Amino acid sequence: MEFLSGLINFLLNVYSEFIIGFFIFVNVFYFSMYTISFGAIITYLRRHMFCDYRVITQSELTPAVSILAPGYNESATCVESVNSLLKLNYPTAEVVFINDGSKDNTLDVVIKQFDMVKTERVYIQTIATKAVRGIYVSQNPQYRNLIVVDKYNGGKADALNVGINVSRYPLVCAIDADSILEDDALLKVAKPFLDDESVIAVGGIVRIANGCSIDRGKVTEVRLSRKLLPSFQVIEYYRAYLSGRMGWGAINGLLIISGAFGLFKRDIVLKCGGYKHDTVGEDMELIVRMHRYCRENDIPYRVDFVPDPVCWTEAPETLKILGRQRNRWHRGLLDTLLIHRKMFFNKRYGVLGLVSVPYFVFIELFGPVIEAVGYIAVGIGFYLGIVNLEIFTLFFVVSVIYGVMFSVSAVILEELSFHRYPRTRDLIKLLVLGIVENFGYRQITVWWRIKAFWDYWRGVTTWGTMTRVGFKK
Amino acid sequence: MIAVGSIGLIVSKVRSATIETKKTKRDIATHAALNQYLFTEMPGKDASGHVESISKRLEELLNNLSFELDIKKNSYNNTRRHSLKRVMLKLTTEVTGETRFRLTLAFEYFDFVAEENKAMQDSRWWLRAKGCKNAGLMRNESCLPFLERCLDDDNDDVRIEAAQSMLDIGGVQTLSPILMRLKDMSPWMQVRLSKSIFGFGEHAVVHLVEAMRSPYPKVQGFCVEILGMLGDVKAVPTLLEYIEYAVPYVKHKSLIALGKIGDTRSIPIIQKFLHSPDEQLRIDASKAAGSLSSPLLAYDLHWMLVKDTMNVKLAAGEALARSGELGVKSLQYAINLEDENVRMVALQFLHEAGVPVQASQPQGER
Amino acid sequence: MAEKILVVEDDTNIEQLVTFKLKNSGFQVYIAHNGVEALEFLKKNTVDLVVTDVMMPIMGGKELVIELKKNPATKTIPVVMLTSRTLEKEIVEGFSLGVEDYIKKPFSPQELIVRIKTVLARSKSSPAAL
Repeated sequence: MEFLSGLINFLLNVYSEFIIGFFIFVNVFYFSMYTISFGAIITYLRRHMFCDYRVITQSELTPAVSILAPGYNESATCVESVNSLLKLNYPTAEVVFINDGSKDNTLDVVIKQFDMVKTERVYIQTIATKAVRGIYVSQNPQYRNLIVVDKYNGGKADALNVGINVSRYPLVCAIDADSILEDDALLKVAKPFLDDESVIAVGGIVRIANGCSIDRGKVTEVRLSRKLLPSFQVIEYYRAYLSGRMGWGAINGLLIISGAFGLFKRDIVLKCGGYKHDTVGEDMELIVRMHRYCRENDIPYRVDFVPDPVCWTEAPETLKILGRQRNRWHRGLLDTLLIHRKMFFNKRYGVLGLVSVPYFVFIELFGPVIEAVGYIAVGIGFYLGIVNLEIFTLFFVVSVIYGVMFSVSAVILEELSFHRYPRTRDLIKLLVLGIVENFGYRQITVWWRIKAFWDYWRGVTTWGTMTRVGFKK
Repeated sequence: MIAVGSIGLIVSKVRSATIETKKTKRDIATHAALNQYLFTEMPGKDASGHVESISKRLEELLNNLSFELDIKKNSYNNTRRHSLKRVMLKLTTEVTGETRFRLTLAFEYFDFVAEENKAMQDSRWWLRAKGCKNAGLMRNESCLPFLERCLDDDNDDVRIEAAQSMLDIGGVQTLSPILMRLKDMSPWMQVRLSKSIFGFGEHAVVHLVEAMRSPYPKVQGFCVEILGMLGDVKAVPTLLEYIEYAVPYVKHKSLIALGKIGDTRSIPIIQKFLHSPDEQLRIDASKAAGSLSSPLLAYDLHWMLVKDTMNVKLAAGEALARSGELGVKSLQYAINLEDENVRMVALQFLHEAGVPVQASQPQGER
Repeated sequence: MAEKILVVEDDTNIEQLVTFKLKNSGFQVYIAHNGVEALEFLKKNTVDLVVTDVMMPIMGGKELVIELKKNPATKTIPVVMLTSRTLEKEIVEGFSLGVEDYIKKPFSPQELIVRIKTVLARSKSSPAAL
């Protein structure tokens, strides 16, 4: 017994030292990321004092965009979402709606509404996909920019691949069926492609639409949701996008472009082989592969990020759905990092291999594990009476203060740059929530992400690739 | 520290809202006063020296305006002055014609031009860029030497704004000097400049042709592309002369441009490129042939449809569909060929061209 | 009696400019800031002409024209569009919706007045036409 408690004591000590080191490392890292983001946002704002987006809409030289909208069993919403895509402000764009073998009458609804007829259109099947049943175009000249592809069911990634094959324009834009785009969204994310010809992909900020008024597929009034859960996510998104991805974009190490809205160079995507259809994190995986492709072939490139709020999405409002979403994200992250484990601390991939990938492995992937082990260790320590209460309290307070600091500074960053929430009340609420989220919400997200490891392991060993069918809802 | 930051933020938010409303109110008042100046009718032509009387009258109106807004010429930190500048700059992008001319006059009268000339020499790039931009909006020729200096700036945005403003102020004559001075053109710069150049229309052709002498491929490519869009046959001899020696990037653009201009003199060159070893050049040549719609190229296109790679097949098929009767005949012949890809391509373009196809064979069932 | 004109424009600058110039030329001017407001206004009032911007929040100019042409009460009101989208296909699309005249931004206020007068004269001389 003596020996056991001694051993535990020793382990706890080692672990507490490890955790303190880790803690310092993480916070220094976050801080530098925040500084880089801050600088990048200031530069962005300055540049955009001169950017008159009207000019882009008036020029014939603007690169044309194919918007890919995959749909599965969406007969209720598909007409409205296609309509709002057709109305986006951009000189030359086509909308490719891909019916992913819906079981309801999605295809019929679209065909009827937009007066579509089957064509004999030929395309080059660069990426292998499930078979296409037919390609439809509209007889009404008002909808001449709409193409509908009917295919056998194969999941979102497969549907997007078909869209990439069929589309004709040099840039492709992948969007989620339920995301709401701002009128100028395409113009804003197309701008980096104009500034620098080596840009291969651009992501935009995704904002949470819960609480906002939405009219005819457009956000008309921005407000914070009355509910707690979506409001927590607002802060989380701020942290992830404004003080995270903005900085990653600035050092060209951006590994994630949200599946909800991203713009890519079509030829690079084709050369990479398109979306991988047997992973849950297909959006992240594609970006990592594009990075890899360009690094391995010595193509100078950039993956850029636009901090302008361009895309709104409905966030989960219940713990159950939110948990499922986070679980899927974390499994996607784990899967992507496993597929590309070769890049881990690999000099050949530059900033990507030495900073981005290790960051994602240590902080994003295993961060929750380390945090959870910490909670358990404290529990055991208390039980055995070997935890020094003062040191523990100090540590806890410091860690909460850091958490609050990063949340608040993300809110400050947003307020300084785009201040999309017009009401002061919402700002105060966000600041308060930045403190509250450290008690409870943060711990729940840790739990979801740890559970993802378990699910991933179970999924791989028992069901193999069959898991995919399970997720596809 | 966190608390201080948050409280500061909230206070600034509340304050900025009130400042914003004040600003809008002031701008509306300024605008009302400005409208008086902009839209007061001028006395009609009288026989003796009406020009002078107009300029006198305008000066009077400007004096009125400055009195009404209580703007003193040398006090730069005047909120009303800022408001006037803001409103006037905004208006320059919305109006043309006589009203625009009056704005230009007012910018000089209130000494706004000198401010911008100073800003263009600032050490901070965003102030330089803003200065260049505003100078262009003010349309004052005294800015030209400063703008010209900014063409060599290190910052991309400054160069773009300077080039754009020079074009706006100096007109089409400045086009070839500006282009010859540039070393690289980002797509954004091309988009920006193209808008002004299209405004000049056919007057720009001579200057673009002259700028083709630039040793930089990006500039050459830009000239070629715009010449194609302007569609003036005067550009054809130069394009034909340059295409042989140009770098691939310019060659692609030249082929497309020649197709768009649609002059029969370019047929032999396009025919030559239809047999180029480079796939992309063959595709571009096919596209050009399609825009030319000349039956003379139908034979070559047909050969490409049958023998070439899938990418070229598609381009050639599309071109054939637009090459008149001979092209359609060739497509009709192709739908009976053995190669399935050829059949599919031919069928698609016949379909798109609206030519009825005998449904003898079950097509597209795959 | 002065002809009534409804100006639909979200930008206060242009709105002020156009209103001033129109009033100066002897028209009676009403203002709406977007398509929805304009439709609300037209439910209760009649006007002789509508001047509308294309890009506006909530409801743009194109949708407004489509709505106007659907309703028999407002079908005959001539519409003049103000737009910065000057690509040819945009203009063709505008005319195909049934817009009477298309004015590109930047515009000359003097020209705007002349065009509005022409459109009004045309619509008066042939009231039966569209």
